[in-house]
Amino acid sequence: MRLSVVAERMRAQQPLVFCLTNVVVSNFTANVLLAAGAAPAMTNLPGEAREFAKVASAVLVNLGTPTTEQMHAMEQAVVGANEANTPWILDPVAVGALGERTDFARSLLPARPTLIRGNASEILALAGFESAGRGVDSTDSVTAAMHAGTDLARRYGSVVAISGPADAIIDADRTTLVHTDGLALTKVTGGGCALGAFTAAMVAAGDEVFEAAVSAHAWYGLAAERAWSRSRGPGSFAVNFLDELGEVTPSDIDSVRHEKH
Amino acid sequence: MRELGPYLVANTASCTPHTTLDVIAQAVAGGIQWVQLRAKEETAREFYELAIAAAELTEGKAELLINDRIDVYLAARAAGAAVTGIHIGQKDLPVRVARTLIGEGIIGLSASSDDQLAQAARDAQAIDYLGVGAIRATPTKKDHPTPIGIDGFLRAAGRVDLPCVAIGALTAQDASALRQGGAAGMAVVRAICAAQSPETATRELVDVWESAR
Repeated sequence: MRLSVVAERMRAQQPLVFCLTNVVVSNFTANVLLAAGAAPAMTNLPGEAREFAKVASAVLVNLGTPTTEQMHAMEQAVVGANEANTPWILDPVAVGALGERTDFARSLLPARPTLIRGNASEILALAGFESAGRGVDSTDSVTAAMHAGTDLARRYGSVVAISGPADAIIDADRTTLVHTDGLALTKVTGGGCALGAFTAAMVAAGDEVFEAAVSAHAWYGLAAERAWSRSRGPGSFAVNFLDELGEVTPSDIDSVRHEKH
Repeated sequence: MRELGPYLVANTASCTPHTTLDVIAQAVAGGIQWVQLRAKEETAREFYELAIAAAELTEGKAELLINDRIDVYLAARAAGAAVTGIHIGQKDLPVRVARTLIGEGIIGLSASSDDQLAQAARDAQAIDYLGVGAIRATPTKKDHPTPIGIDGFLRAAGRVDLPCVAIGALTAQDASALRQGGAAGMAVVRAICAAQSPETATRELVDVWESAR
């Protein structure tokens, strides 16, 4: 299937993504969703999270700056999402480096996230392998984390997306590498976190989670590549990236190199 | 049997990164006295083998109850394993039938609605304790009953003359309120199964429960 099919559908459907995310990237994440054609909602109230997850098109659970109250809201959102079959995405930010969020992220796994998105260190740590992560920066390679991704996919029925120089999309029995030069995304805060939200929007629009994830990473990485090539530095990159997200065409997305691993 | 105290539900899917057996071993080392083995996706053979291995860890130290599968309990018992009872829900075999099947052995029953509690009171002779919840909505169990909160639990527990164990997204922070309110025990899944150190998590839970009087 062409990568752009899900992208076109997403732009047509404008899925509502309920983001329980961190305070650093909230604004950037909402703008990424808007630029790509989706609709963001950023709220953390425990009492309404379950209800909201039932009507949203997708839910993002991002553990960047959790609070006790936000974790409670996340639990309720996951319950609601599973009750209504709303896809939900887990972004285990800095898991492994920090104990409490690691316990919390692992405790959500039996609720079977539709997709788990993180860097190599986070995916290794979430699956229970040794990792060398130091907070949000990955110090492990995507290739080294693929077995951990497969392990999570088999155990919890999730699709796993590992971000890096080439992104790996993994399910129980296949892995696809998406090749774009998205390095510039590490120069502004929220590059990875917003990708989780963006992938949530694509999963909501797609028939199949794996294909939607591949398509999301192709589109997102290509927009970053183009934005960087016409930016003076990280400041103008962030602005140009939002523009490029909206300007990438279906045929551009189809041109992104991706391969079975 | 009036008080059970902290109670581990060792749900196989929730045990990450530690294995289920490792979680049980650590919880026993941390002082847990009640363990329920819950394996929703395993085959009968897998569950049976897990039960036998778990019983070696709990023997003489903690009760080991088998969730839902009376057949697995009977088979493990027949094989000489120190399984000590079952915990069943409203969709499993009727509790009086279960009592006939297992004879001695502990029987715990999940009950949450008023009707279920009233029925449990009528079947009280067949039941050793009730699991009552969910206190809060929990992502761990897909078909959990409507959350009733700690107040709702304490009201329910006051209506039946059976020991009531609270369950549903509980943490050590809930121990005082529950014990002081008359709960016979508190069951946790994630608070121990998903902890970096299940042993430390158990010890903390046991300590707060003990000091909550």
